[in-house]
Amino acid sequence: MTAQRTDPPRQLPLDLGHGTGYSRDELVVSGTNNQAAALVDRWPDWPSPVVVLAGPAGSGKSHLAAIWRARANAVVVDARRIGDCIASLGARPALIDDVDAGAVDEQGLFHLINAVRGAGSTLLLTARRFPSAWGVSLPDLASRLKAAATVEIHEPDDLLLAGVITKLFADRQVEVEPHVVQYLVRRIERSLATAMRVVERLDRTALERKMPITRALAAETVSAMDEGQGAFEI
Amino acid sequence: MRVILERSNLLKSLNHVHRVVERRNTIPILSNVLLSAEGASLEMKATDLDLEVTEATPAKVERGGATTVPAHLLYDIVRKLSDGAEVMLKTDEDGNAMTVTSGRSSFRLQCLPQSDFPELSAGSFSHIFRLDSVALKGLIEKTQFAISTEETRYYLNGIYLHTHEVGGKLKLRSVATDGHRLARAEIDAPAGSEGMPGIIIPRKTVSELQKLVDDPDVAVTTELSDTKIRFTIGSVVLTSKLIDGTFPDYQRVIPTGNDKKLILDRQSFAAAVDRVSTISSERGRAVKLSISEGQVTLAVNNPDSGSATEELAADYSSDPIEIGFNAKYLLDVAAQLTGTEAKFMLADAGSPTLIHDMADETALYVLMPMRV
Repeated sequence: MTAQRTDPPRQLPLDLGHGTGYSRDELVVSGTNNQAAALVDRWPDWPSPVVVLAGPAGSGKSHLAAIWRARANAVVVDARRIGDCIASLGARPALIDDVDAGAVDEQGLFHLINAVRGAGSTLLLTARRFPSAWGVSLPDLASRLKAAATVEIHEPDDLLLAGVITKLFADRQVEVEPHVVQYLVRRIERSLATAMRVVERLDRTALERKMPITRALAAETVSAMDEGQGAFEI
Repeated sequence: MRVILERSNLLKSLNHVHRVVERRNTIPILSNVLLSAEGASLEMKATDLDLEVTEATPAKVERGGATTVPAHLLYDIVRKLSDGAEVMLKTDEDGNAMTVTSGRSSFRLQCLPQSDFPELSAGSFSHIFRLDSVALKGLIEKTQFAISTEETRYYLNGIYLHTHEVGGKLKLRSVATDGHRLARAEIDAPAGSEGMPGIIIPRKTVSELQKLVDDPDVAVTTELSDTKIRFTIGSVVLTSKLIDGTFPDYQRVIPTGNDKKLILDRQSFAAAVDRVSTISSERGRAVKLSISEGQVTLAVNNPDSGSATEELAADYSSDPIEIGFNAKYLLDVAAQLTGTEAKFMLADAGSPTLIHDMADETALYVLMPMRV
């Protein structure tokens, strides 16, 4: 902190937040997620009543899930309180986003899968890891999950990364030149989580300085992040 | 077209409409004002394709018709004509030029055909309500200073006007923010505004509107849809496109748990901020407030030129706190307040501070600090 005392005074920006576009039109599809997108698009023609979308943070799982939820009129089930929702589900499809974020409610999930299969309905689960890595100890649930269709979303390619960065800026209603996006795609670590971090930081810095997001600002931000000046102190 | 009218009437109307016309235009017709003479009035219209202002003024129409002439040029000519004079506007037979005659002066202006003049099609409006000009002026003036001028963040380049229920009563609110500070004003929602969409009125429209609502006795009719707004103020009609964007959820940045209350004499505070900030550099106009029981010390430190401090009596009894602000932002807010005292509600040096006008509970200001 002592080093920062010598820095010039810095204006802090208001945390105005932003919306996130979850429509099908806003989904960026490339080679890494086209299987997952195709699966959502062809519902209810699914290979199995239970489908798992597995992929890293920021790979678009929640976006795909939101598209599917709207299309299938699915009920969103809270991963921590699965049991509470089963009775009221009826024949409606169900969605659990980020099922492996905490410890998996094995009993609840087992009963939910049975209820969905019994009603001839469908269930979509999104997770960071494959079901085999969730640490499920209930043998019946493990076998149910084995029978589920699992679709993987891979780490992004250039096309997807550029599309996602453009989308993240569009979510924030900030106009950014395509060459700035291309610059970021070439310079940042190839992961969607990094893309989200860099967009967030660029947006904040631009708001703080009241300036547009230019290539020079992108270069400054990327090198600051490379040097490990990662987190904001707010 | 051949019309005769009072120079003062013509000047007043031209003054209202000519400001819309940009000084530099790549499309020649946009430099012009449309003049239409019909019945017993001359109508003037100017546009920049986003904003259109129309005003009619009484005139003796000897021969009806319409044409367009350079707006700023016509305004400058009429401005320099002698007060109380009559002005005659007459187009040539072929319509290529218009003569402006008053007393012994005569000017010939080149015209562009009125058929080329763009129409800002307003479409239909979903909501209509009336406001008195004082109320509308308040909504504008208390928030206008916080509008962002950074063009890429277009959704902040205007005033957000929307209805909001407070304690079972519907209010019409105006909000503006540039990401560093936020200003909010409200009035009782007028009949007809119920269910109106939240809209963002562009900065240029706001500033034109502000100049038009100076007359305190005029009722302003407001019509709006998702994409357009129209204000009718006496004989002036202002129609504008709205900003096609989503205004941020501003409620989230208005703190509710700030518990350190500081009450200051507004004028002495503003004068002290102004004095100490003399020493600050252009770039970082930070002023540090060291607040302790009964007292605030303002300090500015500029490594290039020196430092300044000033002490000020204050009503404060919470834990001491040090917090930095941009001096300009403090002065901007102080200039908006009307009461003799200003109330600051603080949390800590990194969180938004709330500023209330002690004389006007409906106005509210949020200021983000600077790290000093």
